[in-house]
Amino acid sequence: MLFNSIEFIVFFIAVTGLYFLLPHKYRWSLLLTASCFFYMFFKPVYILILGFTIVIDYFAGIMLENQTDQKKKKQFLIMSLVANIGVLAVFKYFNFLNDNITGIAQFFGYKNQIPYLNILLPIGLSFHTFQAMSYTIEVYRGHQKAERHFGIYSLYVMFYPQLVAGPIERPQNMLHQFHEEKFFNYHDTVTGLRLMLWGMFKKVVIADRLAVVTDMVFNDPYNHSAVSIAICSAFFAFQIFCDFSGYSDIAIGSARIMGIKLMRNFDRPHSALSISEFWSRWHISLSTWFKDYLYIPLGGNRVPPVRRQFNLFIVFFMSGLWHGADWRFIIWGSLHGVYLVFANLTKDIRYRIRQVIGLTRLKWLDNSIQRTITFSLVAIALIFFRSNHLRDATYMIGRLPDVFGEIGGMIRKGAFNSGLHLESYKLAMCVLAIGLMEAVHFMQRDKAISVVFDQQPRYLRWGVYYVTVFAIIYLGVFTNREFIYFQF
Amino acid sequence: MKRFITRLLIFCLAPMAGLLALGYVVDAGLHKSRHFYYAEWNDLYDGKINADLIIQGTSRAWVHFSPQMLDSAFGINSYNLGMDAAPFDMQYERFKIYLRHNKKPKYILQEVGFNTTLMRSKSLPLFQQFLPYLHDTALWRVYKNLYPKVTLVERYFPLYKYNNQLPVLKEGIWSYMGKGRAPVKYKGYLGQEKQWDSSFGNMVRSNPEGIRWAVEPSAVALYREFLDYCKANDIKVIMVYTPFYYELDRYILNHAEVKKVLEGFATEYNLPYLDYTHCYLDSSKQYYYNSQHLNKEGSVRFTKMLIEDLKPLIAAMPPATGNSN
Repeated sequence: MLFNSIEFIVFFIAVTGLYFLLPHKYRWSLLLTASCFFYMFFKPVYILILGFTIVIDYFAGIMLENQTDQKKKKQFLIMSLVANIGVLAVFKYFNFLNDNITGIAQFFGYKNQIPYLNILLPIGLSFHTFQAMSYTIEVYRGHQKAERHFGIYSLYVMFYPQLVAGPIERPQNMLHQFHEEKFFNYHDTVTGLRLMLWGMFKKVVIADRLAVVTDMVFNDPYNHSAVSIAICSAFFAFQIFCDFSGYSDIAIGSARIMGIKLMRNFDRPHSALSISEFWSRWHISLSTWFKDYLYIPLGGNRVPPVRRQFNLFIVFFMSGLWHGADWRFIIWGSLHGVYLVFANLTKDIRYRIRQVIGLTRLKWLDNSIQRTITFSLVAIALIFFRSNHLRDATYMIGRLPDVFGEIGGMIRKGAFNSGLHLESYKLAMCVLAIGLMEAVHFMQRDKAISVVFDQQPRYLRWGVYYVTVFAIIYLGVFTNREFIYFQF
Repeated sequence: MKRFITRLLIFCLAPMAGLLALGYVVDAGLHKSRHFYYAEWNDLYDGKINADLIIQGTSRAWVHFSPQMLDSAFGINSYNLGMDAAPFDMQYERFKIYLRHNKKPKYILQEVGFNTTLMRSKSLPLFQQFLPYLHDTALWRVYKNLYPKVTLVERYFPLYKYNNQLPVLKEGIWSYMGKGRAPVKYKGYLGQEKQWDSSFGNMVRSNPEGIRWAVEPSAVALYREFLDYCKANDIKVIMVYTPFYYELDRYILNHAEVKKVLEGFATEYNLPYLDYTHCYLDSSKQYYYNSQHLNKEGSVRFTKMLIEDLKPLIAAMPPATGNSN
């Protein structure tokens, strides 16, 4: 069931209404049943996989807590992690690994005899697996008590708003909320609905509109100009942000109405001045997951500088692998690793250069240049993420330097041509939608817009709500396009 | 919660009157519009066509057959109901709607072809043309069949059917105020002042081996149903295969099979079948803007040729009864 569908609106109203009508002691069962229904709407059989990891991790948690022997504790943790990673390995990585074995075998003149698995990737597998893993790790570390209520634990893994695309929650933030009795709260409801509205706007008005343009170029890059490739690469950076953060906003908003607070997943990533800052603002729940459960265990900042850079690279390599069993995602993640290592190694010299040419004295210009560079690097890496094939990505990146020549040609002719086979008003609407979103982000630079918004008179607030609702209804692209991150 | 529900209801209901009014304006405007998409539908629904002879087919009908020339040659009232990329099932549905609002024609020039007559519609090209008429149950059924994701929201929620159709909304509002676009077609026909373009080359590059076109049994059955209806109602059908650029023939892998089915219909129902696929127009790009469509010069030449061939077929008709255009 997609958030951007009529079915979800009906489902959401029914579940939320029932939630407040039922006594607290029955609410977990309502939410669990609703979550199962929500998940099974995609492909029912895959709930068995979820059930398998839930049972393993539930008992692993209790055994971890009961066990005083550190060695045995570790064994239980490993058992739980192996079960979770094993599911990921089979469903997500097996065929990819097999593909690579076939390639290597062919290179040496052998034939790979390992059969391929004819299976589909369960939707949101990487998300709920990581959320389940964070539970057992936290119990192992003693930061979280094992959950004894099987239903509540299942709900922790399956809570429908964030089941298929996060945010990847931590047990410390979530489990206690399911135990607490929640009452209808006007402010929470309005805040939640507002977030859902904004998320829906980003998804159907911006992301799915941009998708029409980006699909055109990414599906046929060889018949497009360098300018159109550059425009679409930038558009895709906004598209994926609006798609994913739109999902997160709807998830956070719908949970908030029920009084459950989920963690923030995005914080205006396109305003980042560096790649490192970008990752503190982009997919925060995953970035912090990797920091807490991979980077720090690898030694964190306490290791020698060279090792630290290597660890950083490993984290981003793994992040790429987490996204998808494909070299395109691995290269995307690795590129970010390379960006970060390079940035760390050249931090001083870059600052010195900016100082010498006087940029540091012009803060606004310095910031604008850094933002543009960061955005460009992110958008270039995303070409690998979105392309249909590696060769398409390398071709598109290879074409980018031609942009300057093409723009020069346009200036000489005195006519701009985007190279996109699209009516100009549609292109203008894409740009306008992005501009509007970034204007909202700009207003949030000092203070959360919801705080500012609450202080405005009702006619203004309602006016904005109406504009947003009408934009969704009349300008939204309702092709029931899945959220990009569902594939992970 | 009571406060919230009350406010939510006020929020939802408050703009409804405005939306309904705007929806009415746009629909009413489009029902008056002479825009390319709507002029023929409006004539059809308003019962203004009442033609003696209708031309039915795809874009190869509306860019090829000039009603003006036919009218002056035979002294009749003819009208071109050709629809872009519309396989026969869509043409037949439009014909049924036509009959509900207009008198039955005496003659139908049925344009036939390899990629439309014996196939069912798979999608809804130029869906915008249907939007103002979704209240019509017959059209709604066709629309829903071809676009299964459509819901009743499209039909009943004010203006939702015009989602992302700003130019259509604009045309509706302007037409309501009497400032809509001027008509571009004459009785459904528009000669194309165009030169040969690159689409044929692109098609050849994409399909160097050519394409095998489906002959779908259900479409064949539908065509038979149409011919049975015409026979029972004394409507004379003349099948016309309009010219195309000769090189295209090579890329229609089963053209002989398709033609055999069409000829079979002509024989079985004793219909005149005029095949112009190998006429003198087929070899010169100057008459075409792509391999399947004649430009204006080509269409004029074609209609002249057609008139000569129709003369023995069409008896002298009473003077035309007038037309909306």
